[in-house]
Amino acid sequence: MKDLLLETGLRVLAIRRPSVPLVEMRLHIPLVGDAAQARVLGAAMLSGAHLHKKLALIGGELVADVDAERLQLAGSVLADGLPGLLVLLAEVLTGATYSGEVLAKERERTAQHMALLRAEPSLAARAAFRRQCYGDHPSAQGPPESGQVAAVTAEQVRLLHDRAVVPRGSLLLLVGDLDPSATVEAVELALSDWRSDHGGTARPPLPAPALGGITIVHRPEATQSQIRLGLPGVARTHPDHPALHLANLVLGGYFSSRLVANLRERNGYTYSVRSNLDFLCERTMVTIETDVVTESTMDAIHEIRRELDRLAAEPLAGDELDAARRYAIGSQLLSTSSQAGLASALAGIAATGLDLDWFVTLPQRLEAVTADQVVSIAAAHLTADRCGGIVLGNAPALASEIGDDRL
Amino acid sequence: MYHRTTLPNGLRVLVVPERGTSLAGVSVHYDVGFRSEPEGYTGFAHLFEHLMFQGSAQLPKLEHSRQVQGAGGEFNGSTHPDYTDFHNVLPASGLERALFCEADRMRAPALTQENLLNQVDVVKEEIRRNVLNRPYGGFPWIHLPPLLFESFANTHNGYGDFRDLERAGLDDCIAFFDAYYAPGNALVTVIGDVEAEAAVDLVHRHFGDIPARPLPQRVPVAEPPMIRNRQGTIEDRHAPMPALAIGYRLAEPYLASVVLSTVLGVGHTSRLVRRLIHDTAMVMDVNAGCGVFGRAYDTRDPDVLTITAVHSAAATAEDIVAVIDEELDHLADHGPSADELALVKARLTRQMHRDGDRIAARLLCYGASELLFGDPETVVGTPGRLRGIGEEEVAVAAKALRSGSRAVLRVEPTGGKGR
Repeated sequence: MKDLLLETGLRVLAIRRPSVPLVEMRLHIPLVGDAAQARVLGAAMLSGAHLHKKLALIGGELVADVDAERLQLAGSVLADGLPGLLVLLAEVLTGATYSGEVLAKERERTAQHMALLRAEPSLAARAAFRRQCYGDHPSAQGPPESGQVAAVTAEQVRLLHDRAVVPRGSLLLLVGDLDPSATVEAVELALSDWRSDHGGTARPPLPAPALGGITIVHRPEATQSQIRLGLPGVARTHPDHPALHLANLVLGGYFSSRLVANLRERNGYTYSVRSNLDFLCERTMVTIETDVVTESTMDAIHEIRRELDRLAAEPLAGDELDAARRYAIGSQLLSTSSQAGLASALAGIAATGLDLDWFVTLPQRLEAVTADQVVSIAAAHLTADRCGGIVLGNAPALASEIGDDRL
Repeated sequence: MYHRTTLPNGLRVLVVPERGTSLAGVSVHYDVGFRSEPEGYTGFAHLFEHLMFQGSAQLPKLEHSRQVQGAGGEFNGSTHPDYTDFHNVLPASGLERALFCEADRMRAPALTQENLLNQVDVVKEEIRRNVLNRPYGGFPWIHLPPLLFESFANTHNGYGDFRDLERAGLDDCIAFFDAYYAPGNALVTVIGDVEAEAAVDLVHRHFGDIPARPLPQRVPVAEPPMIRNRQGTIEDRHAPMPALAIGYRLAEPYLASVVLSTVLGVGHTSRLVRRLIHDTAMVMDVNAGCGVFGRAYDTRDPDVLTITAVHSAAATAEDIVAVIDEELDHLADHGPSADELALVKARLTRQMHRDGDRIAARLLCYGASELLFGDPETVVGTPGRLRGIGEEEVAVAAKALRSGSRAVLRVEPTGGKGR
């Protein structure tokens, strides 16, 4: 493994993992700004037909993925095509022109793409939940509306590229059948013209989430409710975080959890219920997600609240902690056993500013957690009275069931 | 290298040692899928897959999950047209535990009325989530086969009608298990950090005493060729844009059709993406692939080639079909260019390696290939066999599609205001 900060400010990380003759690439570029402009930029920067043909001939692929926090260029390539991939990556980073014609087409397609995303109940629910928690903060925005996309100009996208698509603060991760030292040198050479005086985009601090009650958000013709609840947790660098990690697993973080046993396997309310550790900027939340038929909405929320209070009040059952701990450690081993899994996991960690060592040493910290610590952290952070969020669904039917738009 | 054996009770065993990974995987493929379901029992194969997780002779409900995840592993099951699979991947130290769990439920799953009613509820929520309450749910795999085929086996909805699911009784479950979950109707695959001999011994120890049972007749799925083009329309109240799917019946040679579908509609360099998205912006998204779920080598004959497109309301289905016909005609007459063929082969090779790098995908791929085609390397051998595919083979595959009939399925958005 080789980890180097280049003179341009780009951090490069190359890891040898020759399980298959490929290389996985992730270029993480922090990008905070107008959501519509960022989406159009992501669509347009790779739009050249020649780029894709050159990529394809070396057995490579590159996609741009934009969300409210970052632009990620993700790719993979047959191992001997890596030098070619780096040359093409440099062309994209330094040569994207965003001509009026390209932009008009990509704007149209992005508007359609956003309409598709907004129609997906799971994505609409996530966006509604984050809006409930953080209002208009730029890092919490879901897919922009088509009208916002239509108003984006080529000039705006060029400015955003100049301001945000810069090496300082960005991370290039390469994992696969490669020689780490030679790869870092090749990156330094290939990307030597990608420079900027700018330090990238900064974002305003994310406020504490506003979690009072549960708001109903109407979705026309819905037959199911998307329940999305959250509770504020502690950051990954906090000493209590390993206990929170395991408390989340016991609650609903894997199939062998209490929420699955209750809502799915005992009551049949849902196909899927999960709790997650959700990281947004410096905030950590425990989020609970499930989709249930409209008539079961109140019952499902009641059982979720019951499980929260039970976790905070009662000792863990015999094997619960050890099972969660072994799962946490084993699933990290499994998910990073492929090149793509390792690249995505490390990119996610490094992107938040955490040291990679945090990830490598997580199993040791999990080993040290006691059952009492799990119950204590649940009592401090995960009681039902701290929980709030949204229900996306058939609002008239839900309101008639409970007589109000607040649950 | 792989090793095969068959136990006296008929259970087939495939072992693929991969030393040094410190991981292991166990899968069981049963030779029963939703094409095996009789009339009145739509969705039963999938429902039964759920029931296999409800406990077994020595394991209470939820204990399979606790055993595998408590050993640091992951598990799942899935139902396909021609088979049902169950898999477990975990640190290699958990290998015997996974084999024990799979053997216990092959011997005697806990089939009770309470578990049945519970899982009917769960499956109904699964169908609401994946089909009824979202845009393009079940598109095109539920609605395209009825336009391409005639028999009940090939045309019915594999998720099942709610009425059929609600009518399923405990006796039906027991009969289904007896008929289809016999050891002789199954394949156990073990991969990972284990010696072949040791793995075979462990399979013997755990599965060897499950009594043999008579094997089911496989439901015939072959059909005479389509004799005319067919079309259909479904309404979708959640979809923001129209969509269409075009399906063709596939004949041998299969690999040339996989290459053809990639030339047509996978990635930015493919013909349909260039023409329909880059050149004309008629289409938002287009994809082509073999298999009704877009997975090649996942069913026995007959299989299909499918092209799907989500398109702007300004473009008509006829416009899009005309472009597809033009490209197929061109490919039938001239074949792909040398560059086109080279980049498609590079893409397929990369994709095969990339999928195969994940242990769960690799495990399931070996098992399904062995069960369906009697060759565990059907898919992993693709890069080598691609050398035998030239411009001419792709042209022949294109000609076959153009000379046969096709089905066109349209999705019409019917949602209310505000979209």
